[in-house]
Amino acid sequence: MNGLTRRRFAQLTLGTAVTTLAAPHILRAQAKPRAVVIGGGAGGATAARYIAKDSEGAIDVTLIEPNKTFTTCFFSNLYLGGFRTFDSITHSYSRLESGYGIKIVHQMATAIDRDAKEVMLADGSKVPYDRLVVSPGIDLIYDSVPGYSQEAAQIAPHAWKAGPQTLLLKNKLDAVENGQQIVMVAPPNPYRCPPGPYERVSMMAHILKSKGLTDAKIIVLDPKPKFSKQALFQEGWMKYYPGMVEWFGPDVHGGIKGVDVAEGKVETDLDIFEGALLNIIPAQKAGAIVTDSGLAGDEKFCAIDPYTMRSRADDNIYVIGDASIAGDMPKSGFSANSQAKVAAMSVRGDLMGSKVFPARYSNTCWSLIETDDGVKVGAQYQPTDEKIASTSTFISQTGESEAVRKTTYEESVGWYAGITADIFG
Amino acid sequence: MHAFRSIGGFALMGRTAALAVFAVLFVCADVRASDEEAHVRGRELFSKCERCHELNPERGNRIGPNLFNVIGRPAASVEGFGYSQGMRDVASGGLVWTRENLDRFLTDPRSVVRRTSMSFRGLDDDGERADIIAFLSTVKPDDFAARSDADGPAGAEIGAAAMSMQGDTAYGEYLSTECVTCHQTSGADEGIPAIVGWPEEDFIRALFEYKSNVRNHPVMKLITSNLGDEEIASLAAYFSQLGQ
Repeated sequence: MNGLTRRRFAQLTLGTAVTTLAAPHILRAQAKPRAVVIGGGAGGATAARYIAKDSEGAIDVTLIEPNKTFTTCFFSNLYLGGFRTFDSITHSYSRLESGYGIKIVHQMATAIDRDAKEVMLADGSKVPYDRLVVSPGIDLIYDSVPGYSQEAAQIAPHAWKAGPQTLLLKNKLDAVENGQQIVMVAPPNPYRCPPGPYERVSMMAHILKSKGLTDAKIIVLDPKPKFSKQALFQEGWMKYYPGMVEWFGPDVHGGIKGVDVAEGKVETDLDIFEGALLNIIPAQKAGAIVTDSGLAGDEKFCAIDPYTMRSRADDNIYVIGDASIAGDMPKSGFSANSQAKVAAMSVRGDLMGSKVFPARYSNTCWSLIETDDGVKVGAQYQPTDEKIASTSTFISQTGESEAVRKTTYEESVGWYAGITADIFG
Repeated sequence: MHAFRSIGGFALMGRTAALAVFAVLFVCADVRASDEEAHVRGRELFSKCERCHELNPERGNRIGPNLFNVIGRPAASVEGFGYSQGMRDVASGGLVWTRENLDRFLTDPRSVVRRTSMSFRGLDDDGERADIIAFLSTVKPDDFAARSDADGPAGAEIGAAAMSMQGDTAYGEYLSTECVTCHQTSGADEGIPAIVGWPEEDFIRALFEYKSNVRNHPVMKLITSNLGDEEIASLAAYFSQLGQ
């Protein structure tokens, strides 16, 4: 250990000493400090697992999640494209329970009483906490596309929360016939990704093409003038699906006026687009529990301390994943998993006085364009006083060799196995 | 005199028989030459393997097991190497590294050992595999004495500062949380290489090679870009003791 490092360790130890001084009132008050996590997705399940694993039973960990299984948004497009089964992207919480002693409560968290430090459940019961990690993901702002609603989503699925909506979209995709049209309304920024809209377009096109439906079309109506990995996707669409995919930005369609799901129509300034299948992806905000409990203020997402993921509004609460304002980090499962580990470490520091190391954040997102043709984009981040800031980035290049693209796809398969093991144990 | 007699000897033989003798001599010389060439080519090709495999019997295992005398050896039989469950399974099924089995394995490792932790994806070229196998079957300890002393395993100075440090496994465990989003702590390799149980020097060298673009991988370059000597030494220390 060199001099600089020793100094840093001394600082860390000092930081630990301060938190240790702050912690005893919790330790005195009850046998074990309690960490409660709301939401069993990539953020919440990772946070619960890391708090439980690294505290080795010293912290009582409860995970509140209404669903018995979790279907990942990442790779849900690959299910649509027939590259994965639905089962292979659906995970149980059993190992978190049996392997890490996490108490799983399959109920909806309806409210947070921040003064009493309790989470209200749908059945009226309460779960007290010393530290709370909130990871509810997104809620959809249905009426950001006029005419769209939760009911309309039963006809024109968003499939932006993986599960029944994904199955519905798959059924409808598989029913598309030659000569018919799919119309996707892409989401405005900021949006949860994955599932990436443009990977989804690629997977839809893959299905149409592999069934020989060469006269079927996919129209993308985008409120954004450009999108992530645009050059890579457009290169891929031209190469594999010529004439099948048409993407219109706002300078072409002039604005999305509304949708009539019963008629199968999307109206824009330019024209009315008809689709046998409409995939409407509206604007997004943090899960309601974040906004309802005042953690987001007037914002759609929750401000956090970039060094710890602690809520700016409440020192006892951490907000991670899609619901947080994570600076330059995208709203991906990878990001949520990365943020969860920072929050978990800070929670242990709060409750046990354990060492809190400087936060590290990273993200990589892979997309599949066609069989064995994968691309990726990624970045490394560092917390600053202002935000979680990107320090370096990379992206796949257009014109890469088949071998590189195949390796990238295989890597994404390996990543899926890795991250789901890291989330669910 | 001798020369004359020899020529005379041939002169006494039938023309066809004499040609046959020449032919045999040439063929023998040719076989020897091609064995030698295969050995040389195989040694070149073995550079693909030697980031992970040591061949010098004087040295131990590295990321992969030592490959000296591998031909004819039962699978998973090198002492002290932490084999994957997949490799142990095929070994208990009786797999022996005959030339044929090795050829199949090198063609597509996962078709022979489904869950091998070897991240090498396979070699399509029949001739190249044959050369590597020829090299492996003819290598002798002498072949390495001079070579390994001179080279060490691929450039000794990279990451030297980190190698001289004692890594902190607690710090390494924390830093590893960034790695295990992709690399599995179980040591499974399903498209992303297994990194548990590596000798610390190999681990450190690999990360420095990503940092300095000797190994070209954008994600790993990014991840290693803000890891210093102490971070890398700590990660090496942590991952080396996993899966032991």
